[in-house]
Amino acid sequence: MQSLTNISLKTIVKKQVKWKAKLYISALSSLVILQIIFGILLSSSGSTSGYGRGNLSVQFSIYSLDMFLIVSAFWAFIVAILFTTKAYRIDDLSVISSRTSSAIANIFVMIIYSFIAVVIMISTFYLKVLEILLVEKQSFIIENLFISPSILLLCFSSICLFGAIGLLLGTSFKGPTLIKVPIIVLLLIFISLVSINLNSLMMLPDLIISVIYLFVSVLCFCLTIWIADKSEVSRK
Amino acid sequence: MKATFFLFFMPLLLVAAIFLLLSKLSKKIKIWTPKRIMIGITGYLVLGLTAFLYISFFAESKIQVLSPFEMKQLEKKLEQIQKYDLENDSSYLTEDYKKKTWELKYEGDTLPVIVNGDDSGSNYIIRMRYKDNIDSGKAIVTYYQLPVILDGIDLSDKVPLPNVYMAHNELFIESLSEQQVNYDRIKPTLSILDFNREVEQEPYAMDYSYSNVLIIDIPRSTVLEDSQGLVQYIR
Repeated sequence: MQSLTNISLKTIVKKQVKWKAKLYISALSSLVILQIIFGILLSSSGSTSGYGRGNLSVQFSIYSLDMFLIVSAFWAFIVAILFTTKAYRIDDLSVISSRTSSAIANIFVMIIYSFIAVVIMISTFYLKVLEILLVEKQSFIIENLFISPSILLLCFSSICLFGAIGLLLGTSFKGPTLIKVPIIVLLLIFISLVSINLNSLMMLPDLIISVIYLFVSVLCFCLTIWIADKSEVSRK
Repeated sequence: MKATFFLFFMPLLLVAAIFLLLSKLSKKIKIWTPKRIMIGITGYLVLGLTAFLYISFFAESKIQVLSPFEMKQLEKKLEQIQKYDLENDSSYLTEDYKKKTWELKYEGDTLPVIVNGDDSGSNYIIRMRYKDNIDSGKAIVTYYQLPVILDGIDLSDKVPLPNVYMAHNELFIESLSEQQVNYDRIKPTLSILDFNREVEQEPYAMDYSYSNVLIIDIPRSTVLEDSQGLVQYIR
């Protein structure tokens, strides 16, 4: 039997995004627990820097966003890979979907979750700050309490990038061998290029780094959709 | 290679392990419905917001961080101080910087000075000054603490005072053992970026060689004996 109702891709993706965002919400709860474990419980001293001057030795314990961002980025990478696994793909059968629409929906869910991850990250940071204030009443220094928009954008783009790489990796593993190998090689080249030029990348302003990350994320997303499109069962 | 492994793969594996463990647990414990999870996450975000509001309204740091502009101004001031000292002019040592004064008594017309410390008194600038209004057999040692700025924080109150005393008719100046100060610094930025940028641009360094000054005021009739060559004359 064939349905005569013609549903556009946009409508399907919209419905899937709503449905998936609710279905995979447990991923966000695990991020909260990860942030509490790594950000609040494990990183008790923060990163330290020491100075010496004459007979005075000064030790600074710096509490910044680094740990929270690293945990969030790794979380995004793992979640994105899990989104493309068989267990999650079986869930797609519950709604009208194709591989392409599912990939697009996954991308949107990843973007939404990256945004929520940034908010969770900030929340954990302030809880950590409160913990320090309650423990160390005398020796704390608040340089700035507000997180600048450029840092927020950088955090969002970093989480998004890791999510995009995870989605691309996960999708390429399921894709045809002809695509799988070049994509993985391309990713490895990209990662090695980034690690070689990491210092020069860090020297750029936050906004430029964010734009670069977002650009690479979009590229990864496009490749994900393309691979998903090539892997459509009906087209094989 | 080992460092890369520990820096990148270890946290990734740890996050993955905890994430998978949590997923397995949440599947077994079925109390976490999407609605409850949403309430939990919202509650956590509200908790974070409350923490932020509490910090903004009630937490006040007693330690102030100087802005780059204020540090530049201070540096100019210290440069001027250096010029004064090179010209043997003590007028830069005002009451504001005075930290402690010792009144010491000695016999005879000579006062030998011995500076003890880890690196032979390099922690202090020691100057001697003739004063007409001081009685013979009496020396006044004054310690001046000028600003010591490290990473934007004024640490002049934390610098340990020297130990100044008379023994066997000799004036001893001893620097105390190293003092450790710890600070918790809240910086809502990415330290890894800040650190790399600072290394590349060279951190802002201030000349602190004129921060700790000891002035020995003696009557004109006294001869100061300085066998270590650390004490210079100042007007």
